[in-house]
Amino acid sequence: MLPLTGKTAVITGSARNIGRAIALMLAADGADILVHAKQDSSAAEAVADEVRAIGGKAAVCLADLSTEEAAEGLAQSAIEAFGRIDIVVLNAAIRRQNPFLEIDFAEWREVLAVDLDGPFLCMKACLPHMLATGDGGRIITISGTTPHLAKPNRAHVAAAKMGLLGLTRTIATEFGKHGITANCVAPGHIDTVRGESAGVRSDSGAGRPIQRFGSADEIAAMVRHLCRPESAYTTGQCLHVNGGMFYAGG
Amino acid sequence: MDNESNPLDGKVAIVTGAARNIGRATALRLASYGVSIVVNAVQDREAADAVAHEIFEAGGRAVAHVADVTDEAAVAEMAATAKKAFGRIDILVSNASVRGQVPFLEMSLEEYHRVLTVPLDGAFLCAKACIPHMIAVGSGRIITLGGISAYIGTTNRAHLLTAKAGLVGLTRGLAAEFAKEKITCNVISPGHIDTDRPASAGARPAMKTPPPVDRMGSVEEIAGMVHYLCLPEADYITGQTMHVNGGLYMGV
Repeated sequence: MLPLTGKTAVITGSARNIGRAIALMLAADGADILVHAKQDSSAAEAVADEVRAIGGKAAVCLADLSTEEAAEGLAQSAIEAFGRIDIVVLNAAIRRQNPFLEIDFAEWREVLAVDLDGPFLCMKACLPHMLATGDGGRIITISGTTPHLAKPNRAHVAAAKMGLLGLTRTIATEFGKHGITANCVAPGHIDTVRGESAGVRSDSGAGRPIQRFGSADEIAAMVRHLCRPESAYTTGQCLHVNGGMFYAGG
Repeated sequence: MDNESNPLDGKVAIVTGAARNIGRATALRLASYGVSIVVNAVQDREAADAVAHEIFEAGGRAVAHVADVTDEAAVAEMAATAKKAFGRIDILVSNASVRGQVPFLEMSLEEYHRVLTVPLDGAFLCAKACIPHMIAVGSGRIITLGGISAYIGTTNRAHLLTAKAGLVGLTRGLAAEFAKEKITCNVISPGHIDTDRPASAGARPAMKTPPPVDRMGSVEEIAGMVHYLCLPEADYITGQTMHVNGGLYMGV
């Protein structure tokens, strides 16, 4: 039996990049996977097929998770397909770069809606199902180095991601007694396919101790570690996988 | 287990303070994944031998080695022992520490140094002795064991908290300096862990409030994090402090 056999993982934003890598790695550990994308049905179905190709079970949910109904729909999709929810990985996010004085309220709200409201709503929708299993669970949020390093033009992303850490820590304190851990994984510069709206990458990979980009698999491996039973005592933390570009831990 | 699912097979680790508790659990865990272990203890030969024997009985490879990690010659000899017994050094787990409780105004410089030297000077000397061997094999892992007290503060342990906080600085410095040699260096900071404590350690610091995960952690839960950091999939993690504390402290 694999470490996550019988568990169901809901992974938002899992049609590509880090989310896709997490879906495949948790599937390889035995978990049933709910692949989520906002709208790219063919990319999401392709990831589901990859999961099935390695012997796993997968279902797909397309939704804009910034509404309560959509987040409920995400949880219902997992319950309908697999009957339970054990792991929720909140990876869906958007990135924008704009000088502070040029960020209008609509852009600010757009980023916060996806990067912060979405995780809040998904937690609200999924946690009752996690409590219902009686087996504890895992909530893992995906952040970044942006809120920890001062960088211009990312006020909304930094605010949303730092808020996400506060949210994650609170979930850790409220649900620890139920065996549900909540942690944040903060990737450094990862070799991903970037949407045009994300803006240019801020550096080339040089200038940090490990002089290369990280891989999506290296983030997924940390998520997988946190999902395994041996990580039951790790909660409320922000785990940085960044090649040493930012030293964290207090 | 094949090599793909067991990438640590054939690696060699020195685990200091491995005769009991977290060190012992780490030695057993890594050994069960094919790592050859130097089981270090400062003086309890019998306990170190027992851990080595336990590893051997389970089908693993280990040698017990008694050495004071604050003695440069003894540490050099320990590294030489690892090289001689197993041919290489890949992993250093700097876990050896001492405990003590003295109110600050009663803490002599001698007592301060007695407690400071084992975790901090010990980690320095072990890293000095092991890094050349890691460079020789082309990669390595240094994992130091910190502690939650250095983050949340506790009374009567100014010496130990200084040492453990210093260990974070040392580890980050090594992370920066040896990244190009593919040596990652990280701190694991345990919370309240269910360990056997000698009488000299004094009473366990009281948990003023229970952690969100309302229990003490197990030594195996710390060993699990050590194991993860040793895997190739953790190649991009360096200079970090990994807190395993049930949520008692959540970092900054």
